[in-house]
Amino acid sequence: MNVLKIYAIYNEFCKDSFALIYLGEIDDELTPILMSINEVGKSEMKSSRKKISYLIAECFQNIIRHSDKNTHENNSSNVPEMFMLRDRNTIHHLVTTNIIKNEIIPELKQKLNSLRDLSAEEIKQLYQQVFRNNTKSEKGGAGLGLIDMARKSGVAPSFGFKKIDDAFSNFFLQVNVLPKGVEIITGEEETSLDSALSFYEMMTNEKIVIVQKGDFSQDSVLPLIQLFEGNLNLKDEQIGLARRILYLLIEMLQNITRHAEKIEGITEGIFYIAEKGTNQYEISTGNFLTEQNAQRLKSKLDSLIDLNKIELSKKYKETLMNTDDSEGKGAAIGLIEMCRHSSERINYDICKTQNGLAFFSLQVIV
Amino acid sequence: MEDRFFVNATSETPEIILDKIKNEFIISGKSMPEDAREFYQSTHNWLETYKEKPNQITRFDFSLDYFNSGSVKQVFKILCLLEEITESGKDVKVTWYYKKGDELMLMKGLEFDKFLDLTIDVRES
Repeated sequence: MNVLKIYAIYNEFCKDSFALIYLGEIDDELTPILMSINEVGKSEMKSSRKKISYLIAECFQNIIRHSDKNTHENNSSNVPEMFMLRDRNTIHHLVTTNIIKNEIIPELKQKLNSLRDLSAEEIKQLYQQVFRNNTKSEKGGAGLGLIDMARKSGVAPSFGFKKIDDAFSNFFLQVNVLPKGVEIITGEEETSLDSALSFYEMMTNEKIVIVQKGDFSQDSVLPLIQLFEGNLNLKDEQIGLARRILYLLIEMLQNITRHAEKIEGITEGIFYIAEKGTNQYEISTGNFLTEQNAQRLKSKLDSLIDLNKIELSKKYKETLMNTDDSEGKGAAIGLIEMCRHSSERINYDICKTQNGLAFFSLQVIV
Repeated sequence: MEDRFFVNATSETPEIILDKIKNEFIISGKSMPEDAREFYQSTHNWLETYKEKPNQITRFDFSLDYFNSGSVKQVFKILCLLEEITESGKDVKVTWYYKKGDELMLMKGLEFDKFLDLTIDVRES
């Protein structure tokens, strides 16, 4: 088992102040939740956040209106839709993926290419012109949505297609939101559309449902939990599993909230959830600890991970009965519960990092 | 002691009703505050006082959708206080509701029942 995967993923995103990638079904219910994940804990100006929220909504509308996934036979499971948001050096990168019919690619390409050579001012003029004429294409909006995305973000969207079969392709659309006054984006490879494509591939292979890197203060954790209350692709009869996942997820996310070393004032961390075969999920988290705290956590975990369920229940009872609250905010009981309710042995790993801290990775299978 | 203690639900904390006159004691919703001990402190304090002069029968309902482990410990502490009431000869009827299929909450209810002398009626809601 490769526990270090989360550290490798962390390193991919380490220059991002925030990164969120979601793979799965994108629908109207998801929009407000992902927006609130984006909005909390950001020190940015309100106007800039509003702009991102607007663009997220626009991208989602685009997917919901234009996706051809319902006509694609092996829909959703093998080729999930993707939503990706990365903030790096005051630039926001927003990428979405959805299935489209190959036959519409030429027209779409032409529309998107027509925006490429335009300056911000020309895009603005085009928007006003199309808006006034109110001409519409088949699926509603004469590319007004696309023009608007370009207008709001200040630069034409990048795009790409990846063939699925003879009839369908995945359509990748990337919108880069630049701060005011910046017109041309200097192409950074790590945040290019190509990198988004390779993330999509990696995540699909690993069956990762969601990755988030950034701030894990309590306010940021809440919308994540809300997201998983409704979005685990689990049917009603699997409520037992869904609740167990939620219980451990809350535990692991709040562990970061409580114990992570702050990096430049931010409760920095990363987590992902991946599907592991039928009805099994992996939850992995990573965060920084001082070397001393990492060793303390290691010895706590070592004393628990090889206990059997009966021994763990006994430990649980003892901890519960112990009325002395000196252990703090319930960390000990949290670790016991993690071991009790995971379906496989918990894995952890400690990596020394350049900043003199330890990166603690924790992996739980439910 | 006020006869009635009330805490509104938030997205991370439950609604708490402790009403001596109506004999209504309910904790319901989600419970995952960052610091559960701090959140439940005032509830514990109220019950500590109530314990001195409890109703003949106290009916206490728990109906939690989900909670964090910190809350587990605090809820257990509440149950311990209720157990102490029964030791003084007064009656306490605790009902622990869980949603159909939610084995975790079912298990929590059954465990609490097993760990305490207090009888907990574990019921599907």
